[in-house]
Amino acid sequence: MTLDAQTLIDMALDVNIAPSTWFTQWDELGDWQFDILKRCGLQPEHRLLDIGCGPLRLGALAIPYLDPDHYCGIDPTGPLLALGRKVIDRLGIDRRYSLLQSGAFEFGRFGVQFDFAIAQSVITHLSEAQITACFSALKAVMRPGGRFIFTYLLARHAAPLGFLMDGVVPMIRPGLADERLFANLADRLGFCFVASDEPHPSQKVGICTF
Amino acid sequence: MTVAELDARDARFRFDFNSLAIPEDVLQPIRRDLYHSQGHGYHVFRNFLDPRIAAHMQRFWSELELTHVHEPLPAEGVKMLFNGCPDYYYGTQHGDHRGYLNFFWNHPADEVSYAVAMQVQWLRNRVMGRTPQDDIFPLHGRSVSYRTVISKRGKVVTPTHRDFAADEWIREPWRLQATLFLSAPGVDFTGDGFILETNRGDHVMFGRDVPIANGDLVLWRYCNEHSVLNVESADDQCGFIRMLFPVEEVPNRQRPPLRHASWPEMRVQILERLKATPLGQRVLVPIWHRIRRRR
Repeated sequence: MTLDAQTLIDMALDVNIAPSTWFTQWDELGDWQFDILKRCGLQPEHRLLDIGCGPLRLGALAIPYLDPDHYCGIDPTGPLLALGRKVIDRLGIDRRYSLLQSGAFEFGRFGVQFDFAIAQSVITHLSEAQITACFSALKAVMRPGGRFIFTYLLARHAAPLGFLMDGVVPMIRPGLADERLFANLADRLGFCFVASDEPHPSQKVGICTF
Repeated sequence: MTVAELDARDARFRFDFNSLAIPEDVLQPIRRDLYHSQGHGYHVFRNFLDPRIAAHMQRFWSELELTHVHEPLPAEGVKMLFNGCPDYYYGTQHGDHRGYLNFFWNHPADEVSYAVAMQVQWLRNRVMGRTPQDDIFPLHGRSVSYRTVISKRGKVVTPTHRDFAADEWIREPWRLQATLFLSAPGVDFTGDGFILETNRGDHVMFGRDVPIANGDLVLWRYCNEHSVLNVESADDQCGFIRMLFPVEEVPNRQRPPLRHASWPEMRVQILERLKATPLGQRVLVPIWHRIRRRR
C-alpha cells in the first residue's frame, strides 16, 4: 500500500510543510532503501536504525516487515516526524516503533544494539565534524557485524556549502573530494568501509560493516 | 503590523534574522489554500500594495513609452534572454497588448516596481518553502522577470493552458505563479479577464467570482489551467494591467559586444596576449622594460 503525491501534500500541509520533490520521489527512494537493506540481509528479527528518518518513507515499509519495536527512527525536525506518524496511521500500520527527535546523534537513547542502520541523504547535509560524530555514535550502538548503509555526494566545490533547507533550516554540505574521510574514520574507529557500486537514483552509496 | 510598530510596542523586540523573516505559522493557512486538494489553488493578498503605491504603478506603466527605457524583444522571444540582457518590450504603444519584461540586474525603469517585485518574489519563495533569494538572480540558470502586461482589448488574450504539461509538476510540486493586479475589473476594463481553475476542478473569474482590486496580489498553483479572455476597455480606461513573475531560463551567455574594438585597442589586446605567453615573458617583457628604462 502506498500514498500518492497529492495525498502526501495534503497530509504535509497539516504540519505546515510545503510541497517538495521528496513527495514525488516517495516510492522510488523508499523502495530503493528497503531493497538494499534486504539485499544486505535485513530479516524481520533484526533491529534497524533509520538516521534522518523524516516522514517515515522507509518506515512505512520497514515497520510492518520487522518485529514489533525493531524499527527506530531519529530526525531533528519535529514536523517531519509528526508527518511520519500520520503516514503510518493512514496506512493502517499498528505495529510498535520508536521515534526520537534529535540532531545530536543520540542513538544510545534507544537503549538497544542495531543490526542495520541506514542514512539516506543525511551525510550529504552534514559537516565533516558532524559526520565524524555520527560515525563515532554509530560505533557504540552497532552489533559486531552490523551494517550501515549511507548515501553521499562527491563535489569538492559544490556551492553553496551552507544552505537553508526548505528555506528555514540552516545546514551544511561536506563538499567531499573523495572517500578519504570515510576510510580514515573506518581505520580510526575500527570498522570496514566500502564505496559500493550499488546503483542509486542520484547519489553514491557507502556500506560499513562494524 | 509593521516592524516599526512591533518595535514600538514591545521593548524586548529586536531586529534579527527571525524577526525579519516571515514566520512559518503565518504561511500555513496560505499553503493550505494553495496546495491542498480541497483548497482554492490560489490565495489573494488583499491590499498587498497600499493605494498610493498601486496608483503610482498603474499610472507609471500606463504612461511609460515602450522605447523610453526598454529595447524590443528579439523575434525569438524569451529564448534569447541571457544574464545581463536589457529590459525588453513587446507590442505597440497604442495597440491591444503590450508588455515590459524587466530584470533585477538592470537599473529599474521604476524603483517602486522594482522594490515591490523583490518583495513579491521573496514572499512567493517563502510560501513555496524555498530559500528567500531563489531565482532573483540567475545563480542556477533561471531568473524571475517582473513583467508588466497591459491588455486593452481582445477575445483570447491568453489562451486556456497549464504552465506544467501532464505530470511535469512532479519535478517541482511547490511551483506557484504570481499575478499582481494593477487595475480592477469593471473599473478599468470590462469583460472576463483572468480565469483560473481551482484545485477542485471548477473555474473562477477574478472580478466576478473572486473580488479583486488594484493592488491585490494573487499567488496561484502553477499546474492549474488558466486564461485571460474577453477584455474590453474604452479610450479613457487603462485596460487590464497586471504584473506577472515568470521564471525564465537565463543562460550565462556573454553580453554581445556593442562595437568592434578600435585599432589602438586591438594592438593593446594583442600585446597583452603575447605578454602572457612563455615567449612573451622571456623575450618581449624584458625588451619592454629596457625600452621604458631608456625613456
